[in-house]
Amino acid sequence: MVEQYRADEGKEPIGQIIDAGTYDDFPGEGLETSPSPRRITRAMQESFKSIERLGSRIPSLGMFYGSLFYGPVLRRELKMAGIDKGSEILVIGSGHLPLTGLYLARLGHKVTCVDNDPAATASAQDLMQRVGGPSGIDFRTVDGKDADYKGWKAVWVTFNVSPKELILRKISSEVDEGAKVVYRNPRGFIRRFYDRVDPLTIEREHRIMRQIFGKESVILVNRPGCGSCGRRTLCSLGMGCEAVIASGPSDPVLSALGIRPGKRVKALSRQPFGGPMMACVEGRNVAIDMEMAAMITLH
Amino acid sequence: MEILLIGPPNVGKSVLFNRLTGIDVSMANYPGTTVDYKKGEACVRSKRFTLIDVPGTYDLNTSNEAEEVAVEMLDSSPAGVVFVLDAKNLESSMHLLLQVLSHGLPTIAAVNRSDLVAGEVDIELISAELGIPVIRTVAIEGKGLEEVKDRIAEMLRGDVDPPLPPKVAWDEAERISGAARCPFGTDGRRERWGELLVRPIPGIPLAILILALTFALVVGLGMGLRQFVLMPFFHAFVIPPIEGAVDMMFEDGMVKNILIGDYGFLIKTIEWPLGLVLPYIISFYLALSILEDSGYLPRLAVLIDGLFKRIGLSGSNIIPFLLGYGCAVPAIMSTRNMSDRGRRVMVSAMICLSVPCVAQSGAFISLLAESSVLLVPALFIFSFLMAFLFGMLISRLTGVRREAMVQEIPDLLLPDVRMLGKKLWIRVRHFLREGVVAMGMIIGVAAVLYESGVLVHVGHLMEPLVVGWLGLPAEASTPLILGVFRRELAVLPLIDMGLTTLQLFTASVVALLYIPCIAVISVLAREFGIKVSLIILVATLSASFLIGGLVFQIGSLFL
Repeated sequence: MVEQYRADEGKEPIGQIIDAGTYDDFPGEGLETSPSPRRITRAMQESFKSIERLGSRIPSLGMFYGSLFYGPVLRRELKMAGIDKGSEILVIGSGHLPLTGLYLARLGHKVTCVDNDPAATASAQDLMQRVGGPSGIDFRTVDGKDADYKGWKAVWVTFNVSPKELILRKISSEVDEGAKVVYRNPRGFIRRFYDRVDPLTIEREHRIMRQIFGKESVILVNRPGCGSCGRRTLCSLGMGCEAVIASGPSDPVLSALGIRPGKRVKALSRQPFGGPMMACVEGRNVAIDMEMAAMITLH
Repeated sequence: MEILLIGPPNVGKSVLFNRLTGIDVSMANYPGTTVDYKKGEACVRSKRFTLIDVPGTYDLNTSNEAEEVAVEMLDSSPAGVVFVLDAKNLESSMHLLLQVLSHGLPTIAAVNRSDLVAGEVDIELISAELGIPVIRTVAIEGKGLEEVKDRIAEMLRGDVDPPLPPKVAWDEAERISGAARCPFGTDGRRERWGELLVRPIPGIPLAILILALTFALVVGLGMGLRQFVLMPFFHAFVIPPIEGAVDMMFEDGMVKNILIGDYGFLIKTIEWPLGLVLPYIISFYLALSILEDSGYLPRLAVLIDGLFKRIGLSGSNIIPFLLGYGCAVPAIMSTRNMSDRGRRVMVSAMICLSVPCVAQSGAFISLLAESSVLLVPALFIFSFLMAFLFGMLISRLTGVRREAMVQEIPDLLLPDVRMLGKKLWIRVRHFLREGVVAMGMIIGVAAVLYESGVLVHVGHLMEPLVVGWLGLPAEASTPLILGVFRRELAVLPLIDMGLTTLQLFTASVVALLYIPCIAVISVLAREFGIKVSLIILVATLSASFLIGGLVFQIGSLFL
């Protein structure tokens, strides 16, 4: 089973890193997909929840659903977030069918799952006993708004957590420096039914990765000072952050404006509605289209 | 003897140009291209020469027309080059200088804006490295200007040797500028403001405020000049003697009416362009020059980019629109620096359809404000809406691809009064030379048509459309015919017709969307060919009657 997922990874666009903060992910840009009537939204959300509840009652069904979706998704998320085996991980909003926590534990991490619904915690614990879950998993009933976010290598925030943006803001400002916060956003058609939290509104360095089932993973890094990490692009550079340019399109105007490898660049501000970003290179302010900025990589 | 003035944009090149040349400055079009450049006669140490302001470019290897013109000018064996280095961005201007030096012309370099850097740029080092004279200047204060003149005189005498071709590469530019420059520091306060103005908050509210103030300046100053200075002057001193002379020479009749009647050629040729339009030309271009010289326009372009993206344009395309509120002719000309023809046509068509020129805006204000003050903003909001919808329609139909914005945002500057004056003078003189003559001829034709009764006859033909569909009185077809000649003439005759509020708004909408005036049509034909200008004509004409009619028909259901 596991080998099969790996084989799939190469073929599909799924798992491909979407450049963080391209204009598609801008606030306002999502306005085009206006939310559908509340009833449909609620029905859609309820039906997903009931699938999970059903899965928690009939473990084999739940495991099948999990292996189909969570295994590969989590593997990709862990890889992109760069989390070592055996890390302490917190999962917020684990629910009746704590597949995120379960797969994280199976992949060798020490996982603590919390949910604000005691019933969910209870049925999750019950499920773990029935399927013989791995040892490194623990359940508690805590509200995401009150949890303690210190001391974790990473925090996963599940799809159904609400109010998601508020909790994400709280987490990303309270976690240890360098800790990762992972959450999932609806993309495409699914955007009509679930709220999206734009990573730019959280104002943390971030990367976005496409996932299956109309979702995308967002990984936030609590790095107030801006350090170096994997592949970063100018468009994802936090406001007021500085970085050194690694590469960029060889455009004479960009070069002349100082956007060249080896130059220090500072992000000044961004525009709403997909407008350009302002960057400062050697005391010169330059407006750069976000699509162009997505092609400029940083060290 | 020709000397080229070359440098990157925003380096103060125009200031130096204005300091070196006298009043005799003209815009010229480079043959076979759409690039305009400034050319001025100058005289230093009793040596006369022509200084050519080569269009600013960041690099000689970009693929736009301005850069091609710059290269062609360098290859046309001029007497020499005055290169303007940017003390603040020494490295990138150094790269351009290396490219220029590789053409092997006698060159002197002025390190401008040296007041903006904390320490001093080591000009001796640059001079030794490149083998050319280098001068430190602050063009805006006139510092170093005399030395530049001395060097130019030497160059004209042939005493400046052409440099050895340098190595043209970024690492070479980095090496020289790195060695010559001390750590830079700048005027923090102005920069802070410059940065705040492009932040969405407070940038967007401030942009609205700045545009409102600009509008107030244009309208206020324009109306003041017109009502209290120019019109009284013409009516007191110019028109009466002309009328007197014509009275003496001709009997009452058609010839006399053509000359001094209702649409009298001799009177209106003075009154309309000089009395009605010139004040707004002055006030509009003054306001626009202030916006340009202060470095605010690029900031506005940044703020508007997200919105313009929706209609397939980039924020920089705001400039033709702003110019269009003055007059569509320079607006269409200014689209020349856009690289894509499809976008040029699109922007020009949008301006023709929904941007009223300053004269027409003035007419709208006098027509609508009398009935209800709210009608004026309503009409302008309607015009923005139409521009946006029309732009969306065209971009969907033609699939125009926008260019990604990469733009330097220069520091804010206090505009220099001398520069403003000279710029305004160039624009006013251009209007006096080209606009007035063309307008005079059109007025002549209109006068003949009016006096011979052709206008009245055509007006009868249009009655079903005007009365039945637009719900306007029959005499409203005359302004529509005259509107072909001047946009404000589609509005002004409506003032005394006693229209209802709905009729006023309908007539304004029709006039707003109506075909552009003859001058604009001829520019369209010259720039894009007969076919495109015909399409724009038909589109604007049908849009104005269709939408104007809809406004009336829907409005009459409610009012």
